[in-house]
Amino acid sequence: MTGPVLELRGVEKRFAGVVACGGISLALHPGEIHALLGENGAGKSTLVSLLAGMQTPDAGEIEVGGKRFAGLTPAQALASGIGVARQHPLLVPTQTVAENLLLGGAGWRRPRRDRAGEDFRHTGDGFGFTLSPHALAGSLTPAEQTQVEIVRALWRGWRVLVLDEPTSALSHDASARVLRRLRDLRDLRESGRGILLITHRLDEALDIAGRITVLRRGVVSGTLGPEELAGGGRAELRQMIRSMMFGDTAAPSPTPLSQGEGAFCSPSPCGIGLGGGVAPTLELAALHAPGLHGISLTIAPGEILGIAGIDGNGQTALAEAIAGLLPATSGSVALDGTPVTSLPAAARHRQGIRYLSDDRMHEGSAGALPLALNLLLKRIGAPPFWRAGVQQDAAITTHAQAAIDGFDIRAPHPWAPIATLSGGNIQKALLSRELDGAPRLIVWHKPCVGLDALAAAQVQARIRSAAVQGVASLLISADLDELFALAHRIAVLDRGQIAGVIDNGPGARAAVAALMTQ
Amino acid sequence: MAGLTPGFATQFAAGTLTAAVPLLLGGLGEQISERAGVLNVGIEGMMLAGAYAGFAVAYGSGSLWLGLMAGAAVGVLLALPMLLLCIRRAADQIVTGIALTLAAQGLTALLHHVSFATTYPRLPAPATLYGRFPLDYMALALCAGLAWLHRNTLLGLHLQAAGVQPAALDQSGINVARLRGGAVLTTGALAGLGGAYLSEISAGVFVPFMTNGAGFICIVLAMLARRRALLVLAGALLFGASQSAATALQLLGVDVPSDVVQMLPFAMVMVLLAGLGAGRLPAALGQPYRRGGQ
Repeated sequence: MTGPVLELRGVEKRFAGVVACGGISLALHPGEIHALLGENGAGKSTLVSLLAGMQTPDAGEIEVGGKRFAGLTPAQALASGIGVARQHPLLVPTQTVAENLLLGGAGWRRPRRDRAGEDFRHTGDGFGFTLSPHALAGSLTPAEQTQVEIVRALWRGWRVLVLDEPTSALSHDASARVLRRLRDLRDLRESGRGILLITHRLDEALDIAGRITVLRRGVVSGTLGPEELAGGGRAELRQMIRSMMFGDTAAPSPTPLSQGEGAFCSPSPCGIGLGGGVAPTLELAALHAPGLHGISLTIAPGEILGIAGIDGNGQTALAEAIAGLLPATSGSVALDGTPVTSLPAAARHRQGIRYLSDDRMHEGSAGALPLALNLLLKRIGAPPFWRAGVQQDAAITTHAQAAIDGFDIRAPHPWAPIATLSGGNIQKALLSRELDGAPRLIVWHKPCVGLDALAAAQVQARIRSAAVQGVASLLISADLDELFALAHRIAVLDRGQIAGVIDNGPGARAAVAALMTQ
Repeated sequence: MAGLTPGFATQFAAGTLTAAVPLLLGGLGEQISERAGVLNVGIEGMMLAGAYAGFAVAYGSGSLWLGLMAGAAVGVLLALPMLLLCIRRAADQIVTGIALTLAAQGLTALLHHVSFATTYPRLPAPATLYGRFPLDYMALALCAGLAWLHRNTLLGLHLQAAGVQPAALDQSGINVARLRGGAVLTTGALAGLGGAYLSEISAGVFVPFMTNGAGFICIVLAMLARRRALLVLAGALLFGASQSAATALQLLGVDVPSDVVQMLPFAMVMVLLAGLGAGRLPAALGQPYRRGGQ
């Protein structure tokens, strides 16, 4: 019996006094998939950075391949066979996928772009990736970036594979294929390799992991070994893990996403669909834009229209065309009966169209700016926060404090740079920004991507309560359960066109699945 | 236009090339630095220091080549503070560059005052190879070589990554500080060499402030050329032509005030910038990189 391929002993990391990892110890055994679960801000991403060599621990040690390190450099991490796929990939946008993969070799060598492309296709095939290796990295969607990141983690011959939320940006089918492939890779037991899978999806972990470690506020709050995982029933294990993740303070149990009814019979105005006699809040008529080919749909006040479909079928284009970020080539967008097709994004925002980006770190927020200003990012210069061009710090702080209290944003200070917050808290901040003022229509683009169950439940509650207040919603999601739990109707997007619209209710799941796979 | 003889054309072409070579060397150097994410505003000072050192050593030793090497060495010397301040200490690149330029201007003027101000010695015309100074050919070869390097080596990809997304490069195991440091020193060497060419070959004499904005033109060239070394050559020739137009117009007997003619290169900068724009500069240009600092 050989020892672990990777072992962390008492690893600590603090950022400006805030504990990210407070003495984490865990061992990754050969031939094992070890799932790491935890709430946002539990220290998972910091752990990934430590293993990639992009951060140095304050204390503790990392042992990999029989060598002990007080801290790794990226070169040491790579030489030790640690392949890391980050949740937010670091790619050079001006280079192609193949060129990004080639980075890191000896400088005098020639970049074999074609060979790298073939290798990319070969490795990617196993995962069901179809991305062209000669696509410019800057043009990729988050789902495509994830594909590159996963291939890159495998690129240099790995001993330890660290995958940070590899499926969070992927569609259901794509995720299933990735997980299937990981299971195949794990079977190379004799090669002495192990996989560390960081995820927020309990079932994903229960499906493929041989060992589960749960982190909470920077420390290990529980572990489940192979015997316990094999012994317990699924429901029982879920309950155990949830209590490890959230402790006893988690009063609202994580939303049971699997239920078929959800918001359909929640207090929101069911039945105000088409022909309900109510003028639609949003009306798209034969909308054409790059990536969209004749979209016509309406959303009534208080209605949540779900958009389902495999990633990359025009979801981003649809969101941006409504928000005013992508100009329409023909067709029209009307809000409350008034055309807004020719209005830019800022004017549409003033009219009440809100857009919650799926790229909360880049498109959604300005990382170096304080939380307080990010909350007003779309209203810069407007009174009472600016008067005659002078920033009114007191008014801005008051506004931020209200958002922090109202949305339970955990931040050290209203003026802390937003990038220092965890993903879930950034999302809460963006939610509060988009719900501020008088929204008429909100485009929610994958609002729960990368969030833990608790944060996701909070976000979903916000979506519901906005609908109850009469706000129309367009909810784009790769998570069908989320759509069935929230939406009144679900439209399936296929290659830039609406393949069909299904009323939520009994039989809807089968109908949507049929449209998606036809 | 009686003056438009073959002799005139030859002379105009020769003047163009002579004016273009220092710009080419400096522009190629600046391009390397900018690709790696370091905006080197100190290049004007590095060229000027190279011009003085090159001239002084060439005059003292009697060897133009020793002078050129001294110019390059002084360029590297002046790039060292840039490396220490901007890469090791994450100081502001533009402020550091301006400080370096001002320091070089003052220092060379002072040194000139104590050494050559009373005698104004001239260097003899250089020996030529097929009518040109051998460094001209080398500069052209360097341009072709760098064009190839940017496109066909991993070093080229690394430089680009360092200027656009240094964290991605760092994560791939490449030392960003070392790569950027190397780029800055190379820029210093090429700028110093270009400056030495200016005093030793183009002019044959050192005059205070003689670079007269050549370094800044190099910055513009590098920005306009973006990733293509051959565009630096095209730009250098264009500016060289507009500089040598001054002499050419006089030869033709065209009566244009010399002040107007000397404005030509700078007017060209404005026209080109207005027409082409500085385009997409590397996203991390001018930003210091610290691992885990995001």
